[in-house]
Amino acid sequence: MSYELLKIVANATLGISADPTFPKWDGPDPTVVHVQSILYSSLAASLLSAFVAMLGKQWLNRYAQVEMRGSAVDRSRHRQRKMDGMVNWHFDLIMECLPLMLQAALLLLGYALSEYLFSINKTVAGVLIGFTTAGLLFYLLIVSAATLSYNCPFQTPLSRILSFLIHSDNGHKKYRGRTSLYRTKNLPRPWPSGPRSWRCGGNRPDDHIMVPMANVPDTDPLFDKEIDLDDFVLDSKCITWMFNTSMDADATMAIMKFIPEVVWHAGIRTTPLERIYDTILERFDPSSGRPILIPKLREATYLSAKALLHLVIQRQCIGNESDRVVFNSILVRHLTMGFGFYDSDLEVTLGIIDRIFRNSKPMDWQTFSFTIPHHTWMGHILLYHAWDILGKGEPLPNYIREFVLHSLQLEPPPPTTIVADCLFIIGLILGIQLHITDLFVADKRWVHFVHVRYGGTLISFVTAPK
Amino acid sequence: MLKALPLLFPNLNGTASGARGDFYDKFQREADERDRDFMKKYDEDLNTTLIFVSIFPAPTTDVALIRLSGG
Repeated sequence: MSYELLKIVANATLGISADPTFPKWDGPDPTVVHVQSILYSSLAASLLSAFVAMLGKQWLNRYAQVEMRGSAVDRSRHRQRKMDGMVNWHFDLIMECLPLMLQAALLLLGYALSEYLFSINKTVAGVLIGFTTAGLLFYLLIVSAATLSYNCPFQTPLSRILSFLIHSDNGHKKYRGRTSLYRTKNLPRPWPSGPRSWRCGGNRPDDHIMVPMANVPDTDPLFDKEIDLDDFVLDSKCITWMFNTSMDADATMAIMKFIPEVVWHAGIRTTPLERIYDTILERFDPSSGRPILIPKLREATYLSAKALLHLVIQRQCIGNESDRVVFNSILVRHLTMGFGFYDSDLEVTLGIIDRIFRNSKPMDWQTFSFTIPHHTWMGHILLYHAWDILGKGEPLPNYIREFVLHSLQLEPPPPTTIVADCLFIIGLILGIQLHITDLFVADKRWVHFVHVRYGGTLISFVTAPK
Repeated sequence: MLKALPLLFPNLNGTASGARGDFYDKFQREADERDRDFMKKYDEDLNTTLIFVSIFPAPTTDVALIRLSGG
């Protein structure tokens, strides 16, 4: 058509009879070009996936490398950092998409061959098309089956992505049950900023979290002690990871022992609070209406109860919404545990847990005699509690007052660390305001410079360090 | 005297306190095991990919080259 048109135009304008023999296209015909381009794209896709696979090997090697030479603690934290990176950057997704590229390459090859053979010989093409379609149908069948059922053994990366997108089969999630509760890590948190907040250190911008503590007045910290809050974040991540991986009783004990050593500040997003509560409940024999402690689990129960109380009190100081949800869910199902004739350490720990979640009759403090580590820890954590309650303008609960009286009346007197904590509680009652970072300091005897705001005046004095 | 040192100065004995050290010992053992599994899984996946990739281009290029030269 265009050729005819061209001839007419040439005749009209040039006035000569144009040569009717137009040069013929002697390159490959359009089908071949089409087939060729598909074949080469298939080739390119497979080579590209080879490239990514090669890179993947290097990434894995880098992950396996231990470049830190520090203590076991440093290396573990470093490892946790790398692991978090893997999760946050969806390393597994990239790795699983690699076969997807290869499958696409295979499909392209099948299509290109079928199309080419179709233009040459219909019979041969029929066989190839049959096989390609059968393969494709089989693949689609597998993908849809695996998407619909989690238990289907024919899992492919595509089906996993699809089932993630449509959430069709959540049956497997119930096995994870409560674990998913603490995985609410990416909750948006509108931290108010301003003078009532303190900062976490660290280099990456996402580590800088403005942390409000409830009702913090404008006070300067008393202690000039450096506390690395980032380390505590890593600690908490290690603990969560360990909780999710290991079911071993020994490991659980180690976790419980470690939890009170960590400051669970607001920069830490997830806490194993509910999990610990469940661990404690497991220690009790629920068969008789009131929970009774299984005797040989006493030590384990004590450690878990201590961990729970530590977490509950510290997280209450923060007043986080997701924590409050967990508190409420515990509140609903809490059974009073602090009866029974255990030793003082365990009984008082369970008793305070009971009193935080549900009020009950007063404790008999006169009969208690604590071990020194326990007593020290109690002073430390109850100071947090007093700070939180008084800061909210609520009356101080009896057990804190009784703890202070009990500690100060002891004969012989308790270690000075405990006395220092008691004096700080008394200071709070008097209305002397404390900065939240002061609470983090375990041993409060080392005040160098003291600025105390009392009423409207700032009192400064120096205590000589030992 | 030397034996009494750690008792007198517990903080000299490394930075980790007892509970922290215990926890991280266990953590490291567990993490090493998990990491080995993790590495093995992905390494095998990558090997499968690489084997496939090393075989796959041969027939593809064959077909492509025949078409180019054969016209």
